[in-house]
Amino acid sequence: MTGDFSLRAVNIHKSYGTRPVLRGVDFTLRPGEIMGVIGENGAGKTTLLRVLAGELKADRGEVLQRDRLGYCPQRIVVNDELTVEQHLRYFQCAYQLDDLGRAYELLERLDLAKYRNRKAGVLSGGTRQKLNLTIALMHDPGVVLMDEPYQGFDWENYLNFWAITNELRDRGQSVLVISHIAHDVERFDRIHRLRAGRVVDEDAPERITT
Amino acid sequence: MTSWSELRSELRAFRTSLDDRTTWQACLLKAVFFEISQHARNRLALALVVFFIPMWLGLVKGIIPSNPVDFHSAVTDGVLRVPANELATISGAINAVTLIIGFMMFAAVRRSSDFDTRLVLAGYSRACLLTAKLVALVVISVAVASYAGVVMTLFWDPRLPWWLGFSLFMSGLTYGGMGIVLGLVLSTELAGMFVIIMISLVDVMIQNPVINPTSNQDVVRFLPTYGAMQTGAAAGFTDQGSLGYASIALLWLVGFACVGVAAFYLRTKDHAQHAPVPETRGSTPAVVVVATRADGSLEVRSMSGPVVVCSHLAPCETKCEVPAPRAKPRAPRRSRGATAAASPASHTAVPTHTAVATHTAASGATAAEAAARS
Repeated sequence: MTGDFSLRAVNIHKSYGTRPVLRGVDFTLRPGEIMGVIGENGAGKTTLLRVLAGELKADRGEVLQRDRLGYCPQRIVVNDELTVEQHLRYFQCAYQLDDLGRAYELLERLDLAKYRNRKAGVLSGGTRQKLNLTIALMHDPGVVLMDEPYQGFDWENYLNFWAITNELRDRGQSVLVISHIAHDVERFDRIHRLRAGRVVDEDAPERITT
Repeated sequence: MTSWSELRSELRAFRTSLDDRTTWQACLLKAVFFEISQHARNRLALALVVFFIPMWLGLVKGIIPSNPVDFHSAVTDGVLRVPANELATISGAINAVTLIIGFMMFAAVRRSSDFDTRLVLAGYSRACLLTAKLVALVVISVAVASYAGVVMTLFWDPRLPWWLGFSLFMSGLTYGGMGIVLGLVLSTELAGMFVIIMISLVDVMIQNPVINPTSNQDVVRFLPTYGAMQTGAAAGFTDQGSLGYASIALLWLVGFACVGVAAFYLRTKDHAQHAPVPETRGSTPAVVVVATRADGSLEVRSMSGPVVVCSHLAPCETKCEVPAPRAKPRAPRRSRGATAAASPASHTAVPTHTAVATHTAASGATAAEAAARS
């Protein structure tokens, strides 16, 4: 199975103790598409994304990627003692960015700019999630992995999120979104369902645009 | 002489100059600044430093009688006969400094554990982050030990106060290192706090002759603050400082640092394969399914991107196989309005990697041959 891809999972296996969670996950994320992975609670969606992001080691199989990765974990991973601006400066070093132009643009679009000098610990859940998302996207990655990225967003920011995601796709970047069952399936170019530790194709949805 | 406000503005200007620099040194300075900022915002720890140390030392000095006790000093290689309450303030100060610094480092490392992992996975240097934590530990130890040393001089007059402060500093380094390790390996804050408190209590109590009159057993030498206690007692009651005994704390710090580096590396290890995959565009065969419809037309379905279908017989004069349609390039990022305007057009271009030429013959056999050739 060769071809054009941004990220490819090959026969991924992962168990927690004796409980297998992933039993041979195979799929390909192509350039310029939004792919959804859906599944019931406990199906292993978050485990799969953590393996793809390199956070967890798979027991077997490999993950190949061709571009820089942006990872937005389900659990908000920020430092409560640092301000929003300090988070951006920290990750500017990590991503080796010349400037924070893209980060500031995201702050504006997600209505986060007014909190730049606030500590993350005093922000609301939805606002912290915006910071979580900004950190994942501020280096304009070629491949974006997002786990329930709009949790806590109000409707306007939810639409902003999809507008940003569509723009990424339109510029040839690849986006993989973990989502709940029947949640936003019509917004994906392709959908995979995680079932019994494997991914299976879902019927292609009718796309909607925002 | 530079005024305080001028110094602050110079510091601010220096920080601003670092903002867009991403060299290793700039990243280290930023990390040090952020680490110290985090500690400075730990209000519980600051309250403990400001209030607990004087209260604790005052209680010890006031409650414990001033009867003379024998302290087995390795520095003087003899027995020092010293007031129990004054010796107890040294034990108490070491106890307070180690608890507070151990707690501060543990809390900071524990709370930023996932964040540090995310930073490293994003590309931040592990060495940079660990060095920043070490620098922050030294800064905190200097501040807390200095404060505790000054407070102690309010209750009695040590013979060598600077050496006494130095022993407190070294004990702080030891427990700070322990706090870093516990922050990396323990899963809950309660467990870490409990371990630090218990170790510090046992460590200090066993060495105190008020509690343990036979505190010259060999096992005492292996306690984390043995060197600091020996240096502190000698500095308090004699004119002898001992760099050698004080430096025992550094051995503990190095030991903790080794464990900490290993734990940090394991915790932040990137398991993804970042090695660039060889570009296969143009040389990899496409995967297509060719089927004949009932009306005789041919259906070509690509399993990995669109294909170019050529109706010419080979050799193809139009040479449509070469070059293959290029994959959609990453468009430059534009402002919000411009991107929105461009998006419908750009989405129609779909990447491919191989041009597949086939005949539009109605024959299924011909189609299969074409598919096989591709």
